[in-house]
Amino acid sequence: MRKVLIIAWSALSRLFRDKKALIVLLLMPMVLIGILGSALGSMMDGGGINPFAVVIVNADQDAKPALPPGAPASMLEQLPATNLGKLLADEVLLSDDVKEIINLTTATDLEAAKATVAEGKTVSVIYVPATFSADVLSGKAANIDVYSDPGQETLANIVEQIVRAFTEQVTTSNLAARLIGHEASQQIVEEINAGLPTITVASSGAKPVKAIQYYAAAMAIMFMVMTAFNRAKDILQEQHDGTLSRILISPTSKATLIAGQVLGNMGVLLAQFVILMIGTRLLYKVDWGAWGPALLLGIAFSLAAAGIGTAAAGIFKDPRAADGATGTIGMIFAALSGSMFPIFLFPDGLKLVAKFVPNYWALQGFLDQMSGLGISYLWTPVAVLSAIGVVTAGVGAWRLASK
Amino acid sequence: MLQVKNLVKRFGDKEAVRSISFEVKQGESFGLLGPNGAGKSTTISMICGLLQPNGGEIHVAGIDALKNTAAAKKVMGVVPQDIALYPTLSARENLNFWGAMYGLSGRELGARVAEALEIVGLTDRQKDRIDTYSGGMKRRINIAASLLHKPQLLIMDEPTVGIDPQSRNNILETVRTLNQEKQMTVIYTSHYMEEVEYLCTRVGIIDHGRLIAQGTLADVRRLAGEETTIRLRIAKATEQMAAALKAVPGVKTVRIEEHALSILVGNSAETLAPLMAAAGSFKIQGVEIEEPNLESVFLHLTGRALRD
Ligand SMILES: Nc1ncnc2c1ncn2[C@@H]1O[C@H](COP(=O)(O)OP(=O)(O)OP(=O)(O)O)[C@@H](O)[C@H]1O
Ligand SMILES: [Mg+2]
Repeated sequence: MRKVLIIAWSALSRLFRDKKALIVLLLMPMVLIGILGSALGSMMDGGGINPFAVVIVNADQDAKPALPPGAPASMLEQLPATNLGKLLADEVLLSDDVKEIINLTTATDLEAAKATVAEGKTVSVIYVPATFSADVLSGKAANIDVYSDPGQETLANIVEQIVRAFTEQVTTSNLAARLIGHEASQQIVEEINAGLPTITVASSGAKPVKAIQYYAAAMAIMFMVMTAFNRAKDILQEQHDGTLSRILISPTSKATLIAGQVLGNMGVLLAQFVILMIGTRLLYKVDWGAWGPALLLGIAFSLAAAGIGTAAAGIFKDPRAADGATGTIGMIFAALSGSMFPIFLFPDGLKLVAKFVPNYWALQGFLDQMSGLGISYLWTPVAVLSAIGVVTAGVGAWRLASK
Repeated sequence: MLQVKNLVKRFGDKEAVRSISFEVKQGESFGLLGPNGAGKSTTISMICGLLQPNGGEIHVAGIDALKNTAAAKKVMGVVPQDIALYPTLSARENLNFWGAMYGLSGRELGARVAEALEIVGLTDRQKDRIDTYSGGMKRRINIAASLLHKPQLLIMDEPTVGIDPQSRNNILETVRTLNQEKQMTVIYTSHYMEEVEYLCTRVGIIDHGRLIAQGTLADVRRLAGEETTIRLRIAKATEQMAAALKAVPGVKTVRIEEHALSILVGNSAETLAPLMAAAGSFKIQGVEIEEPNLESVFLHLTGRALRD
């Protein structure tokens, strides 16, 4: 174990002494974050909290609950007609809390509304189908559809959360029985509202992410991948120089050597991340959200990138071969994850491909934390990144061991 | 100290080492001599546990090196043929790292590093980065790195390749001191026969993956035959002169060269005096005596020169 740490530390200290490496590691991302953040800042940042556009297409039709067997038909006339879609629009989405973050408009043409999403004008379209109220009142499964811009995942999440909570409330609150019992509809509305995720909405305020924050995360991620590939080249160079063989000539096992290299990769990446995080905080006042979650994401992404670096070291034959290929792969990763162009401009197929790139999960994770969505949004990216890290490090270790 | 038996290594269908066997005793210095690609490094890689042999046995200090590799590695110090150091670290930092790989730490490590630097004579350059060193100095640190854990068996793979005469002498002296004063067992591979003749008491000659001769230096030299060549340098050698010398007892052949007579004799000590007497009337400009050496042994055994 001591030797694992010594090998890892040696890799870390050699890299941090190399001035050329430090420029790529720290200086370049800091400069790029500054340039991109300020150049695109005015374009991306609306200034303050901008309510974002949501369209509701309410096709729902008034419905009455089915009468209990034996009840006189005249009773039906006395029952109030209910339109849950209208309730969602008027009482929930136009409530004071929600109005602060959502700018709701009503439409009747679903296809036209969806087109505005594709154009990037609207974050989400909420579609309440014609039978929604009727289905709820007769105890059937009922769904409201939300069509969102995948490039606006953070904002779309808020909409989806509200809609999901609303649907859950109305389907589980035994509406039919209560309406038949002539319960005051106002009370039911209040109850539904109380069950909505107002806390998340109010506390997060879903702060829009500023350009400088966006590029701080995007560039940190992109350059961490480059560092991981540089480490792969270092390992291949060591193999070529014979220092790896020399370690194996000493009473040190292959497992120790590989563990030391993987740990060294991780150490380098984590150090780079922490320095970039603190650096951008001090220099550009970048708000990374709460420190804890940001650091946890940083650790998970370091693991993923360290794994990829190890796999590259295992797969490529020599530093020259790695050099050519990894530069391209790094750029593709960065582009696919939205580090260069916003992801909502991508065709659907590419959006799907993006999900296989660790950068994507890291970037979404950081953006979620920056917009204050809280730690419930942390676990998926952390889990995905850790899994990528473990699998790729495993592949790399196996390939290195058989070299 | 080291027993190697029927060692075989194949790379694909190329047989790099073909059933090599030899033994090195405690305190000995054993030279492994052979041309480029003979299989020296491959043999050493198998001994030090870097390559898995396709067959054969290796015992180091009584340890089965193929079964108990970790224990065997502790006994050996290996100087790789290519300089295996971190160029951006200083000599001292390199040695600290390599010492740690042999489980050394703290004060003991510090003392061993200082000692190793002393042995190779680079104490005053210890803080400089390796990439600022000359080739010869790098080679000396390359050796120092393998001495830190005080190995019983020091294996050196061509430690003097491509360096200046000063560093080369320093290295040869270092190896000699380690062997003769510190009683370290040494295996020394080279394709310079002078080095092996200078350092080693026993030699093995390796060619195309086979050990074609082994024994004490004297034994192996004798393989080239007992003959010594005496060369008399004369402005104009003639048939008459050759005939006169041929009559001297002990002379086997006489060959006329451009400005010399080359005389093959059984025993130079006995034949030299009568030969010179017989050549008394020739205008001799110089005398050269060529004792048999490993170079001529190699030539004799393979029909090729050691270095082309
Ligand atoms: N990893 C390998 N894969 C394939 N062939 C190899 C490998 N290593 C060595 N060889 C071959 O095995 C033969 C012996 O090589 P080796 O390095 O042992 O020679 P050597 O005696 O050390 O030569 P030199 O004096 O040039 O160092 C050579 O023909 C070489 O090409
Ligand atoms: Mg060799």
